[in-house]
Amino acid sequence: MCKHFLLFFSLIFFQVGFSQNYRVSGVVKSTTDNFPVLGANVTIKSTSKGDVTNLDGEFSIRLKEGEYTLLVSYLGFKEYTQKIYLNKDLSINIFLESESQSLEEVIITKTNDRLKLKKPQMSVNKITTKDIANIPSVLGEPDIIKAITLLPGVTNSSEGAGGFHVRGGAADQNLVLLDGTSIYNDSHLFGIFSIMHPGAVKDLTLYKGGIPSKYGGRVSSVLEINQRKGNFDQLNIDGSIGLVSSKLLFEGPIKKDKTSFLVAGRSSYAHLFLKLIDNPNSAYFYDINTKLSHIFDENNELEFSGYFGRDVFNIDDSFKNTYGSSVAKIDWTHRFNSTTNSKLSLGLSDYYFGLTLDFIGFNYDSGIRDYSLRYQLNSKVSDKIDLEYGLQSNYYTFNPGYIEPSNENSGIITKQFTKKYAWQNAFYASAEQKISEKLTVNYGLRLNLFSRLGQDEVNLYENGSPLVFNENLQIYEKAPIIGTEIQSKSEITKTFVNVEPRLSIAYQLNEKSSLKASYQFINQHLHLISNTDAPTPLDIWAPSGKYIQPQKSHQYALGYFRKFELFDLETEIFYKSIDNRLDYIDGADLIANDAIEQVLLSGRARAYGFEILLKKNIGKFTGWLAYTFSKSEQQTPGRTPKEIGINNGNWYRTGWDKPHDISITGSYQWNAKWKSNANFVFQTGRPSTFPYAKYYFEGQTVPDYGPRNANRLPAYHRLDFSAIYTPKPEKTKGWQGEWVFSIYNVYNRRNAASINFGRNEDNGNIEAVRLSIFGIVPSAAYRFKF
Amino acid sequence: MKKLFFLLIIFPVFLTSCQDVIEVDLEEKEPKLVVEAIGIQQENNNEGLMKVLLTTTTPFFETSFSYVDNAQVSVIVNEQEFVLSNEFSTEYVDTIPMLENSTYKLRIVYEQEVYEGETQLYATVPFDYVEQSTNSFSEDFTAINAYFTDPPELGNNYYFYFKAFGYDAVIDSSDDKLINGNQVSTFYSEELESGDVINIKIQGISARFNTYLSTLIQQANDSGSPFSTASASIRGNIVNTTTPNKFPLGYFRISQEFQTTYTVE
Repeated sequence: MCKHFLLFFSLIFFQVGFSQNYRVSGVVKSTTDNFPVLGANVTIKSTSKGDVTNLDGEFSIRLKEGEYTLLVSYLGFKEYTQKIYLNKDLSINIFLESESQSLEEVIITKTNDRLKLKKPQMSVNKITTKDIANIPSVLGEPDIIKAITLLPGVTNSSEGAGGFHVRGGAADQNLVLLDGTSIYNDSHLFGIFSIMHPGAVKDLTLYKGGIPSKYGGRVSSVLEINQRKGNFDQLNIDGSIGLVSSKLLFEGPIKKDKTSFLVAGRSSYAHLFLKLIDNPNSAYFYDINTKLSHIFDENNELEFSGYFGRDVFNIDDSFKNTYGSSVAKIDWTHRFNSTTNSKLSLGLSDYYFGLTLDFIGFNYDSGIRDYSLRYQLNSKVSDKIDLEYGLQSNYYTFNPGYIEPSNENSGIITKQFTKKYAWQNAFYASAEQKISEKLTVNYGLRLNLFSRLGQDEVNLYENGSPLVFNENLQIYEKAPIIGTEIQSKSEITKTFVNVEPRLSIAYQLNEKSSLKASYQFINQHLHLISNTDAPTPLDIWAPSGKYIQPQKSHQYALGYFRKFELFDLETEIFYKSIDNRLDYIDGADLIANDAIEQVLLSGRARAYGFEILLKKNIGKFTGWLAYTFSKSEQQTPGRTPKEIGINNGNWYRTGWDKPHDISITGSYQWNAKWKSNANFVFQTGRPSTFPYAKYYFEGQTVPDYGPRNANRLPAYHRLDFSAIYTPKPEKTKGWQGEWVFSIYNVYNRRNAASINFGRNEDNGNIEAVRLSIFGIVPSAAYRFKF
Repeated sequence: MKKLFFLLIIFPVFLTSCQDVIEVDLEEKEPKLVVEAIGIQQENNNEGLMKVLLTTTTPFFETSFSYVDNAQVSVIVNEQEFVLSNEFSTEYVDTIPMLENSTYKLRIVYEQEVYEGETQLYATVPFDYVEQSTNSFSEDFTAINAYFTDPPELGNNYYFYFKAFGYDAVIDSSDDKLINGNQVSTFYSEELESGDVINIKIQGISARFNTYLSTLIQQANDSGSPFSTASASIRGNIVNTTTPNKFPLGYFRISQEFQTTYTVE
């Protein structure tokens, strides 16, 4: 026994004595903005050792004692080399210089994001602003949300509609984060454009599955929108003049290398959208993005992010509509040592909707406000284990509506619909562990406590059921309110406790390919009360509580990933189930209704499918091909066998169920002056409900509709082109400009956004009328920088 | 009230958006019976006219009516049965007593199947006065505002009817949740000219009929757009007691009505 012990001991000693390893680690940053570079390749010349920098730009390589050459490469940056001599652990900071001084709105973010085969994180897509600027778009207006709908597993309900749908999920199931703070409405003009100035955005990361435990609260996806930091080195002014809007962006140092700012504004031209209406009416939108960054020292950094945007419609002062979001956020990042850092964040997000219809005689407003606090720690426990843990607290106030008369002749009453309050606390931890050379696992847990706080009045119903089923007529009816409960705002009236496991596994098959699998369980306590397929600005949010149960979703995904010489292949299959998905009884009135529980039924949803993404990021031709085959369905059965539920309790397609979805987007750099981009989209037609027959009732011609979403609109497809011309590509100082010419829907396909069945008021004909939103739309924009 | 909010959905009408008539192949099903059964009490009369129009659904693109003239139709109130006759028109008609707090039963026998419905008389209030204004969506439109005073207790539902010469009749309905107890006006606007005469009616209806009618008007006028609600076959308050799955369409109601006319200045 003793002998064995001795042998074992000497073996270790042998190991240490003759082959001592040292660590070279560090952070790779960009000289332009001092921002960490993600995905840079760090290699050691003449060896097989190397690493890829993580989100914080960090890398770490173990080597024997000796002299080496360190090489750092990253597309769009000059290669960096440094000779190092290792006889102890070494920490170095590396600054990469931008290779080209071309006029890109974002210089630093051409992520050479080749596949990371070892990382367990799957179901993630990242797009940089540069990618977005290349994608041809309606009226030449680069658009972040429209760009992500070109990714596999992502779609929107119809052209020109707001929101997006991920892996068959609903629009309210996406957690949209602007620098970490939720935003509650993502579009301008009812969905025609998204709310963000693209130039202020650094990149977007979309998690479709395998969502890390730091995120919760929405069951289908997380979209991180990261704003860009201002330039720490020099003042830049960027702008563009387009057909829809003009944009301006200022950025620069307040104190060189210490403090920087970025302010970006965009405003559409008034009157553009309502050609039928002339002065003194207006219809426009604007938005402002800001970011202030201050570096105290290498261990402490403070950041402020802000957003404010509004849509404004005003018709002769008798119709006024204003809505939009505001976001403010402060982050303090602190580095304790080379292995542990923390981030403390305070945020506020507000969505406001205001409407005046003076000819009917009322002012109305509604909204939601979210105050948030988050403290997160990241630490590298060993070479094999990374930890991420923290807590998050949100306080929500919901204003479901306030109405008042707009003039003295109005008979409208003044009424505040009962405001609701909720408090959510979450504790989360996850670990990424390298189990063997080939196997890496990320496992995490999120404990979620969602508490409803007291509100002025809660409606009470017989047997607690706000909805009764009339068996004779086979319809659902509102149950009478038998009383109201008065609550104090300081008391917690109900708490939902959820424990959510998350798991992702990566198994590297060989140098070129790997298999990944993931599982997630997520609870959603905020529900968008909307019975239309596409979200509208007047939809309200409601919290889980006495009458609304949290949406609960499990998702399983499996993927195969392979690197080829010039492109990456990602394939995934997924299955997702969602319990407690709300649906609405026929004729439900959702706006200005103080008892929405009377029109809600709870059901379930499921989605499954597979996705293929072929992506080429290298060379003169770049782009991707995405194909998704998927199904997305919903079922709202009766609560008892005697009830019919919705659609007779049968499964029905969701409004965004499009089995086949193909997107091809490509970009080719012809020479220094010309670059062209193309885009092709094909989707199965959107589900729709067609009538079986028609009848007349009280002078109305009424279609008698068949089962919900049993039919489909014709297939949707279109091709877009754009060309970017840079007259003086060699110019790096002073005024630099470029032209963007684009054609949306080149072959002018009349894609149906909807088919409306009814009687033509002018000629009395019974017709099926197709509405197509965008025909061929040519446009030009000029971008400049100085 | 909901409809008021849906007005603004009309707004994203766009630069390049366009509408065109297309052909769509629709699946056809067996015709359903459609019942439009309305009894009207004019002001405070003791008796009123009960009219029942029976049709069947037709294939969507067919323009003809399909009248049902071989049914037996009767209304029962206060244990008295009134057999309606279609001898002189396409409708089945009779005069029936107008009684508060009484149950009215409708009974239809058609092709050996029995259809039944139940309702009562819903009262309403007269108009106070009518005025015109230019407060509308567009300067070319004249708004006609007919004022009435909602009773103090909650739960009144209204049906409105507007008819100007040369224009289709417009119907509308509303509850009193946001106007309770106040003097309030209806809203109707058209490209009217001086001298045009507008006939305006107000009727008392049930909360259920208000929901039924607003769903029906919405599906008849705006369906299928991304911003419209899911369309479905709309169930009224009449059931097929012989074959419950073969449910009829339409509604049976008894309403008090007040009318007024207004001449545009």
